[in-house]
Amino acid sequence: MIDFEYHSPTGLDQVFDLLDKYGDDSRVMAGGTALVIQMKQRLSQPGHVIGMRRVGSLNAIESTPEGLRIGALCTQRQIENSELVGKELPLVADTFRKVATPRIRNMATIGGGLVNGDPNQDPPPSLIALGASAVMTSKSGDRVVLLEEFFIDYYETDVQPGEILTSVMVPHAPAGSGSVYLKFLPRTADDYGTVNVAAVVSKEQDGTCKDVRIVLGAAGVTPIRAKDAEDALRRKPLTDENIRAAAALVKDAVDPLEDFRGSAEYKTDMAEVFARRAVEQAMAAIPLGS
Amino acid sequence: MKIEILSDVPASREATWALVMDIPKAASCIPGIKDITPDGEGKYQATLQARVGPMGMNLSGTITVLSQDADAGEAYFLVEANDRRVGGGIKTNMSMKVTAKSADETELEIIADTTFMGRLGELGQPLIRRKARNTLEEFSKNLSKLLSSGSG
Amino acid sequence: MNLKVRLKVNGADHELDIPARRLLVDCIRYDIGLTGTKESCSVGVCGACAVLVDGEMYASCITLAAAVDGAEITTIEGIAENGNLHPVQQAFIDHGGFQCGICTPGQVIAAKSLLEENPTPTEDEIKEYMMGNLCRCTGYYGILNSIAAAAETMNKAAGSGG
Repeated sequence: MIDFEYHSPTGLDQVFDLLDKYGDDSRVMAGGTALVIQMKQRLSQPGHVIGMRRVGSLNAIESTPEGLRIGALCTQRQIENSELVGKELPLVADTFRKVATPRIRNMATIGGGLVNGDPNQDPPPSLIALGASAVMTSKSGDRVVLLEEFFIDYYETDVQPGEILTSVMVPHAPAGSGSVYLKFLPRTADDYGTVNVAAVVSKEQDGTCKDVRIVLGAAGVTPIRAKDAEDALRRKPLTDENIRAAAALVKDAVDPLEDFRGSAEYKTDMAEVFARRAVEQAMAAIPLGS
Repeated sequence: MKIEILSDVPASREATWALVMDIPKAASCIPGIKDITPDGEGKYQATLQARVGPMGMNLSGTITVLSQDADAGEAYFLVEANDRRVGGGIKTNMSMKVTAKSADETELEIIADTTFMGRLGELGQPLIRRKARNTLEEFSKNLSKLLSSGSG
Repeated sequence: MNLKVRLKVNGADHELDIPARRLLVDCIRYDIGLTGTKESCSVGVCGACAVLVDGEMYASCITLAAAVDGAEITTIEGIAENGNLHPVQQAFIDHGGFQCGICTPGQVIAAKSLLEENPTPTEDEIKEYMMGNLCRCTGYYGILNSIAAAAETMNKAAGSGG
């Protein structure tokens, strides 16, 4: 393990001062599940680690008129088990439950995971499908970034110098919609998905698609929103044929990296299959009488 | 790893060749390149700042012109650079070929055969290939931009 | 770069002067001398290094000791009650929950944590909670049976009828 200096700020002001002082030579550590491994493997070699454990007030889950504000330091386990999240954002609770193992979820935080920018992780597709945003805080105040625009490249996210992610704003799913997060796990239960899909579907009285969101994970260097597939389904009858046609367009949206979970071709094929299943299951989850 | 980039440049064959052989100017089109300094006949020192995922690198090394044939429009380069702190490096044999398509359009072919060493060699092939291709494509685009702005 | 780290491990206070880069598993094993906790995969996946940090199951191989300064740590050495084996430990002995033993401290810590959170888990709930604890020897059924038996014992003792 590389040598470094560890800092334990107790408030955001101190965090900003440390970021100012050490800049590029520092890394902010929340749960540390990604950062410590990167440091062990020398993929990341900061001279200074800014530990967030003592910074209070960032681990609350609050109700807002639009949805929930989830503090960046909320652990994934906290979110998975939260009654409030289970009631108001069941898709989010369900998605966080699928991350790795309970032990990892005790340590890892929603904010740390998002900033890390690992394209294989579970939360982003569901959060993006719900139109969530990250609140980036610096000395000059807050900057709100749509999560859909937050992921730039492989492990590269829109965090400006001097900023830390302090909370995630997640809107409710549209009234009368159904949603699902599918994680294709052909290997072990604690693995990353070979391909992941989040889908949110709402329909009109006459059965046509009112709105649809299809977002894929582990299918490129960032999470991918399959906009063409969505456009092909919006305002169309939610028939088998139309859903299949939309799912076929997902293949052009994704650009998976080949690894031991599968070739790029295989993952692309599976993206289509799981996009179709996600839309079907989201539809089936639409409350009766909607 | 061999990567080929073929692009059409909006400039004459002469202007394109002139830019390709102007190492400091051409190398400035590589994203992340810094501090290009001459180091003897046909040789230059340079540093390249690059990121692959969470790993940031400062690669420093040399660009050597191995051979050039103005008539054939072909030139061969050797790029060797490493980052001691990260423990990784690259060795690239690169060829650049210019072919006139018309009076003011030239086809530029870049072929880069790269060996990734140390840390870089350990990263996943698909990821490295993608990064290498992106870098070369941006290099090619920047060359085009320079030429079309008339400063080539 | 050294710093002072205070940890309460199994009820005993420790004040350590250690490098920032010291991992909790190494701190527990070498600085404090409790070698019951094992390191196996080193990337937080296998569960052998599991300890409780302020009552929550953590992977000590990817935790910086400095990051949990001030916390209460429970290791396998600390779960016996009044000199008697914890019901989970006894159940592992009685129901074949281990063979080579390398994963066992982590399994027992995880099982204890599970039963504290959910005293009457279903088989599926046990499997889901324990999914992060790998074992190469037992084939897992011995572990699952041990946990189910421990739950029964603990609930009988608590008078909740099991």
